[in-house]
Amino acid sequence: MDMQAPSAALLSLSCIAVRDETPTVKTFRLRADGGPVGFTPGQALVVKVPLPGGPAWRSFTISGGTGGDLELTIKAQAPGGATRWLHENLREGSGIEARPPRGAFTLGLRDNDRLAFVSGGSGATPMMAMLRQLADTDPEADLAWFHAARDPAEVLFARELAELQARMPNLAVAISVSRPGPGWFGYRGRVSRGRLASAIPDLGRRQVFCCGPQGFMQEVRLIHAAEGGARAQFHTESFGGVAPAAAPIAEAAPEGPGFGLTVNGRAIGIRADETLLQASLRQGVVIPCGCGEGMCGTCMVQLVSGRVDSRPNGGLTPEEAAEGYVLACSTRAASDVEIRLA
Amino acid sequence: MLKERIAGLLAQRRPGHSLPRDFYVDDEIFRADMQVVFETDWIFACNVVEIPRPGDYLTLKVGDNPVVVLRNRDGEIAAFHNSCRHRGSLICQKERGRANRLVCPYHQWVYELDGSLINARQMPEGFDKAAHGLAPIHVEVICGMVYICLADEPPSLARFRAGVTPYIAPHMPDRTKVAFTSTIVEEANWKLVIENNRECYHCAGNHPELLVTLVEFALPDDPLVKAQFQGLMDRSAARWDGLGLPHKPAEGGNEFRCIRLPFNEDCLSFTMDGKPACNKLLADFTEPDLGSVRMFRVPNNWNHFLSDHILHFRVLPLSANRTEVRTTWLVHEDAVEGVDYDLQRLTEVWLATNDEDRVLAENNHRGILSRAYRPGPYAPSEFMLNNFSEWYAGKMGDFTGGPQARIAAE
Repeated sequence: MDMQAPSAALLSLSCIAVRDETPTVKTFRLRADGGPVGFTPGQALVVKVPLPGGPAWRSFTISGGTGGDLELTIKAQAPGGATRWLHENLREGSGIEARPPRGAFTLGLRDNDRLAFVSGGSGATPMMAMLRQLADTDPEADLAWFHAARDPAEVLFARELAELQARMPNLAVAISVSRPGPGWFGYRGRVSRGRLASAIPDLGRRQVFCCGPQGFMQEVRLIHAAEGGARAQFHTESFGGVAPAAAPIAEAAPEGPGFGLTVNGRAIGIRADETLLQASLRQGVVIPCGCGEGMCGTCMVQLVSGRVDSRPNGGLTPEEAAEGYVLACSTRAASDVEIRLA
Repeated sequence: MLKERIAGLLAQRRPGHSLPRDFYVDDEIFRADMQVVFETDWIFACNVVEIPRPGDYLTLKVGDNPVVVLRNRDGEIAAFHNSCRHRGSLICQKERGRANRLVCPYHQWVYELDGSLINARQMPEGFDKAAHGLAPIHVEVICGMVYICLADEPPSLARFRAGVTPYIAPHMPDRTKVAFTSTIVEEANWKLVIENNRECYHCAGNHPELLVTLVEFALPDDPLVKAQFQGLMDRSAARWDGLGLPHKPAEGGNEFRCIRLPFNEDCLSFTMDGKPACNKLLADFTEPDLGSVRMFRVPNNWNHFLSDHILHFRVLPLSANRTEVRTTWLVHEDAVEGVDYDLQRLTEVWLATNDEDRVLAENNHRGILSRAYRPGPYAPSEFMLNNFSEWYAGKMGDFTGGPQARIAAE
């Protein structure tokens, strides 16, 4: 079928069905008035929610969809907010607007045979979208599913996961709830390294897709790293609200022009106002040193090239000086300088 | 005779100064050290993870005493004198091994892993096997660290156990594995090896690898620290407080020292770039910036506990001028070499540092042989040498005059 090409234009959508997932979560099935809409599982729709005080734009992962329809699975949050409005007002036959599907949190990122989908609360929705895709395209996929919910009634997609397990022999599912009740046989408690590592012992070897509250994703990222996982193997879906980390503050401008300094082949810099020793230590290159006053000679280094202002305080023999040695603690650069540790 | 001689040397000792020469170089004093210190105090032997399964054993020599430390069938750690009850032969002859039973290779007497003699062929009817079990040695395990004591009635380890456990237990040493061990012999007296470890006055001039990451100053309220590291200390302390990890110096007196100190800014582990040595962190840690818990205990053990690995150092005197130093690197039990850690990267800083320290101790020993040697003054940053020297003098004083004499003198 022809799909609508992605564009920045708003899609007009009609709600064609609503179903309850849990007491607080509904799935809305939407159909675009302009024809079927294509999306990649894991992508999101930015929905224009017409709140009484003015429209609010909210991102919701597309939890599924067939035949060009799109499904959003949404948990109702606080009264007066967008999710509560949708729960109360979006019903079969009503219309809503949204920007076309977007986002890079998809299986297009996959470059590892072993996957882990780790979700907290409604963060399970993009996971389920990707899981359905995997069930169709790669049912043998080695996938560990971990989901954290508050209580057993809020666990998402339990029945569908069981159905998919029948088709996906390498799908391992673990659920943890922080408020378990009688009859709960899964993990208990919030996400922690011990809990996650016992549910997924090889977490550090897996490519992780993680979605949930910010604190949850931050914790899971630290756990993945602590288990030995590489940063590039950790992906999150995050919807707005968090500014990127500030760029590091530039170091204070040096007094006067600086020069290049090369120590044992390692290129670092040196300010005009510091000694070879200070510049090296500041940048993590350790030159053995003693008195720091040009007297003991411990920091003697070979000057390979460059001009310097060397002021040994008796710590250098005339022979050593003639052979091109200087004391790092009492030598400053007057040009680009290369030295070698003696 | 010997007691009078040692008492005379102790009388010459000036507090705050290095020891009179004979304490470092004399054979007779060395034998006294073995008897007075190493055969009476708790000696660090190994970590339990070095002998993970029943029958795994490790041997060492405490002075002239061969010892075998093993894991018995109940999974517990036990230690025995490694000397057959027949005619005394060494039984376990490898440094490490695994035995279903301990069988003396000389005449094949067979001992169970609990030390009991269960077979002695050709011995006559009525031979009492029960009276010929291996001589046991006291063992205490503290956070995975195995300490042994050859004394009949060992001193209490209670204060030490209580003092260091809160610092070390969070690193879960018993959920680690051995990544590497190194044993070197230093041509120096054991006290010089320990003294060299107890100060970092020598670090700036000698340890370029170590100082990439190690903060030289060992006391958080040292004025030098105040000037250079106060911000780092404060930020680190706040982070560790938030994680419930103790960091202030423990009350160890002269017996032990335990403290958590930060690495240099942006450094996490003993590597040449300060980045982690093992990507899989120990225990349930998710915070890689835990500095290191530095723990020392007289007479023969210092350690570092980091977020990503653990280092044990074991010092065993061989003779007045030879000392064995064994270093053990431990990583998370599930860490995989070549994936989570690179062995060279993990070990290069302390292999280099150990060798630099070896040269320093050897030169110290050579220099002390000079007829011009006089005990010299400790710098304020060498305060831990005072602790060590006082502890040692106390031990020797107990030997020469008994504790009563020492108390009376004080």
